[in-house]
Amino acid sequence: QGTFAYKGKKRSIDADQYFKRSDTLGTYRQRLDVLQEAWENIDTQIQILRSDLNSKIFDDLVKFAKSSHESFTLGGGQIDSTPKEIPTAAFVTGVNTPDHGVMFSTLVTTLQDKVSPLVAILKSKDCNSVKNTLSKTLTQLFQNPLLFSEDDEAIPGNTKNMTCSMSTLVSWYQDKYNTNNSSPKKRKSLGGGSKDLGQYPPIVILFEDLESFLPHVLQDYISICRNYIGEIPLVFVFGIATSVSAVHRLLPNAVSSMLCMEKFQAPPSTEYLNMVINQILMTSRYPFKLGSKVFQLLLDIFLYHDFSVLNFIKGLQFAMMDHFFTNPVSHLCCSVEELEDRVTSLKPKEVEQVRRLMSFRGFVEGCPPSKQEDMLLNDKVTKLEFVVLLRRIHTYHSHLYPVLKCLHIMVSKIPKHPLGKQLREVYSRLLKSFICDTEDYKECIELLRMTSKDELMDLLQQCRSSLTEDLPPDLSTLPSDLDALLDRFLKIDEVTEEETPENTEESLHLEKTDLHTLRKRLQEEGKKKKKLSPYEKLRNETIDFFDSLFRKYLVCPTSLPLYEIFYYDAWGEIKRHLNASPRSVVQMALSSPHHYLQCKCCESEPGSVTPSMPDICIAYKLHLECTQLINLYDWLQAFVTVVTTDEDLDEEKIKNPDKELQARFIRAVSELQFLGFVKPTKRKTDHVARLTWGGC
Amino acid sequence: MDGSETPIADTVSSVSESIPCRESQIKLLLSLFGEKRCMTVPAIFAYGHTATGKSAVINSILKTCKLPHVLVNCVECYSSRFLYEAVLNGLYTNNGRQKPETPVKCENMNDFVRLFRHTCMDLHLQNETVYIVIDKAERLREMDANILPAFLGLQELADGNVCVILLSEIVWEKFRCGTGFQEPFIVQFPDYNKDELLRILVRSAPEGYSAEFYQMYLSLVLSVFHIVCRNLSELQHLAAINFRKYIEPIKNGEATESDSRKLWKNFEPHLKKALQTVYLREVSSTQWERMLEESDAGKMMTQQGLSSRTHVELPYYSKYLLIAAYLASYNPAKSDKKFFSKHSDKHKKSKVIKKQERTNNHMLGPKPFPLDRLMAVFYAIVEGKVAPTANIFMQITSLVSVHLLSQVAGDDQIDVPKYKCLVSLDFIKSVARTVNFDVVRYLYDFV
Repeated sequence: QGTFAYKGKKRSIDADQYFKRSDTLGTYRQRLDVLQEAWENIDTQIQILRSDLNSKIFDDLVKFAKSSHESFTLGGGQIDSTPKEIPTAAFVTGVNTPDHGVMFSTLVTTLQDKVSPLVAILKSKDCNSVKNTLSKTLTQLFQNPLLFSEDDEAIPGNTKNMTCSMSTLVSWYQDKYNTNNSSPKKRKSLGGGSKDLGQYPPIVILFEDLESFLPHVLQDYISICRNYIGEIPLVFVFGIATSVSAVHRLLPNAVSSMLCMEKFQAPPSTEYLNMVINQILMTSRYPFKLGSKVFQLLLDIFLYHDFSVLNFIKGLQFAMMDHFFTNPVSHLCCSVEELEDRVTSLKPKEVEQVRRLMSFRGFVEGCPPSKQEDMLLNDKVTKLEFVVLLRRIHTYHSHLYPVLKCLHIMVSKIPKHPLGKQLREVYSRLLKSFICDTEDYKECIELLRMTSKDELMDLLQQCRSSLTEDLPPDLSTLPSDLDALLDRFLKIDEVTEEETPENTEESLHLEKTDLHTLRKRLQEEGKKKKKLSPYEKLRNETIDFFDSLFRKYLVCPTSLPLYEIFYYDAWGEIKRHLNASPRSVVQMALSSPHHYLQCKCCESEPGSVTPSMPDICIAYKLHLECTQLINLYDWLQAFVTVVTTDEDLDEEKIKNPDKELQARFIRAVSELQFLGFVKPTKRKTDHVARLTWGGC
Repeated sequence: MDGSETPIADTVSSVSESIPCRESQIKLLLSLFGEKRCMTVPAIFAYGHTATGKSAVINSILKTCKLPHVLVNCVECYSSRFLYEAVLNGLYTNNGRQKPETPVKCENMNDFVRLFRHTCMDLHLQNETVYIVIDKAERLREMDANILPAFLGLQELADGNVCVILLSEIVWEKFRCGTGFQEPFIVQFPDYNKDELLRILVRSAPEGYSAEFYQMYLSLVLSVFHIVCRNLSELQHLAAINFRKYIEPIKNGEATESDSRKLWKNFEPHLKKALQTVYLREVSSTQWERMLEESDAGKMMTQQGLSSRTHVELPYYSKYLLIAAYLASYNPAKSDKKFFSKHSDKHKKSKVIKKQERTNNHMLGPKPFPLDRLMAVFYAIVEGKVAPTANIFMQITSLVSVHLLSQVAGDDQIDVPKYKCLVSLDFIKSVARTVNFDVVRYLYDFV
């Protein structure tokens, strides 16, 4: 993620310079434009998805915040002698903490729009004492830009001079909404959308990461707020990453009984991820695609590490940037409409670049020899061919996704899920290889041939309903085909009746034979294909229909010529940036310094030590040969032996090395200690303990 | 004397009308307060558990008698300056005066005494007793050392008729630290007994139902909950949220108010369920009702509700990291070799250990362990090869941030950090189940 931020910054500062350095064809401008446009499209789509996903839970929260103080009136607290509880929404958000920032900022804007302009959000890092917490709350409430749109009164005092206590807030609130009562003009200043907010908008206080708050601060804060609940309408929203029991770990009963909690569960982040994958990667709308390895890697990071969709999207963005940055002809990765113009405007050099793509070379080799020459030499012919090939990929995409969804529906009910439970898993397999050749696919088809009628019809029905979106011309008959199949399934009962007597007749023939012949006949009978019932026939027909459908459309993208233009699969690159492994990098640097120093002298086969290496590398390599405890003197001697050249090597010098060598050695050792490879030990004098094992 | 006797009796009856079962305390306090101009004891210390009516009694006495007073809650006063200013400003507002234009500023006790005298003059209170009520007085002990003695002797210091009333939940003996205290007059508010609870609760009977009927209901509720909970406010809460269920058969026309047996039969299983979540307050009354409706549809609801309370969805490696942390916390480091080394002979060694010698590690709680050990255990139990990427280490930090682990030593990564695992055995079992890992087999206590 750090790398990503760095790159983005660089681009915005002087994109021209940055790109020129590695740009050989002069297409960087175009590529940059394509990238920016493509990313903007994807980004807006993601925003839409995000608001769709959270809309339900946010609606619930908004409703809760609105209704909790419906009957509130100023000064009502004194009449009611029994102390009230603070309405609290326990908002369980899930452990994907990186996503929460965005989620809460959307929640704040939603609440401000729909419930009350008085919203404060507290983060644990700002709230290490009651005082800080209170001042944070008050500052956010007082300096709310929504309240002072056509300002005629000054922002009440500087918060620094003000006493930060709840009573300040109470008097401010009472001032504000009492005057509103009398003068309609000021009430208007709350903004147009606030008409339905009622006379006394509640004050909503959000705790973004409740678990990290200091318990005593939170307890005090809540008890303070409770004392004023009669005078100002407060509503709490607790953002809880784990489970509601966290509240009880933080708050003793005396405090938690001041709250009236209601639980809200945010949708799991996997749901969000599925939406992102389905609507951004698995659609023909966006030409950019992830290759199988990168897709799998991003999924792995998500599932194994953080559950963070935000990081997934960042990964996607990085992949896009790297794709357009490294691939000099990636500006061809555009929509069908622009395709022809782009291809015709290709310069000869660029055409050459496209010709060099591996998939195109393979394609040319498959062509008849007469055509081969044209392809390689005649730019005009090649360009025409490019258009055809790229169009083919576009149509492939438009066919792929509806059919893939059908496949997923068909295999999703199969026990043990040989092709995967989720659509994304099926997709990932498809990216990897031709899915219909895999063993798992064959197993699935076999199992499908054994499904019961009800199940099969249900599957067909689902497939039919998944094909609602506008289909490409080739697939336009598919829904009606499915309907026809379904129809036949419905009518099949009538046919079955007729055929049953035949079977009984046959079994009658078996009588009156001796044991030997009976067995023989039975064996023959077994070998002979059992007569199929009409349902079975139809089922086979259906499965065959689907099988051929899948085989036709679910081709692996890597088998298509010029797929490199759309598919990004630089797995190593993305892994290095997104899933960095610091230790292996350090070990790599220490064991083969030439990789980083780019000098010839240090180049050697792994395992050997040469004197030209930096001191720390020599010390590191020597320590690899040691056991758990390393004698410093032995280590020094070995070090001196390596460092000093052969000529001036004598016994005396090794035994008593000069000060400079000793200093170099000690420095190398302490650097290794800093990197965590050795540590001083008290178990034996003049020894250090080794801390790492393995590696080369 | 005759003249003063009647007003006291009047106030006693009027105050105890709103707060029943506290007659003796009210009488005692009122006789201590005496008449407005009389000097009172310098300090009163009232203590008792939560919801025993301490604040309510004192507030209503002060209000009904119209005595000049100020209420301060120590929780709000995170510095002594706030306490002083709250008292001084409160004196103005609580006695019907407009706040002074500039709020009073007061930095220390010395200023406070001076300003206090000044304020009393200002408000013409020299001839009346001024009452300063300090709630959550146990907090005073944590503030500056001079505050508590000074408040106890305020009458003497300010040379005026002032009475400081301290309210607390803990006994006076715990306040004695240091010297120079004037002993306050101590008033205890004892816990309500069952009958008293009933008398108080019955006052909040909902409209439309007779008091006898509601009393019947309350005695049922108390019979179930009194064993686990004597807190009045908690019981009030419980009585309020469960009443709807009790009267359900009446509303449906299946029973009448007098049909108590039938009502109880319908109600009992429900109360048992409610007993599991007493004190938790995880659901508001509306949500509780919704939950009940659902549980009627499928009886599994409560079980699910309880397990989902602690269920947490974690990323795959986080689960393993958490399991590894749990193992490292509850297994002695010596036993790691036995559990995780591939070449050791398990059966031979387990016989050697003498069971009676070791104490149960689960009784002792989690022990801290260094990061290295966590990673070693992690690599021993995780399936497949995992590169030690930055993401793995990030997950440890995020586990700390959601308080499933806690860092106990070493603030940065270079200085070997130590962690503790904070989750329970049940939790880790359920996590381990999701990744098909038999965690019990690796726990030293259960081998």
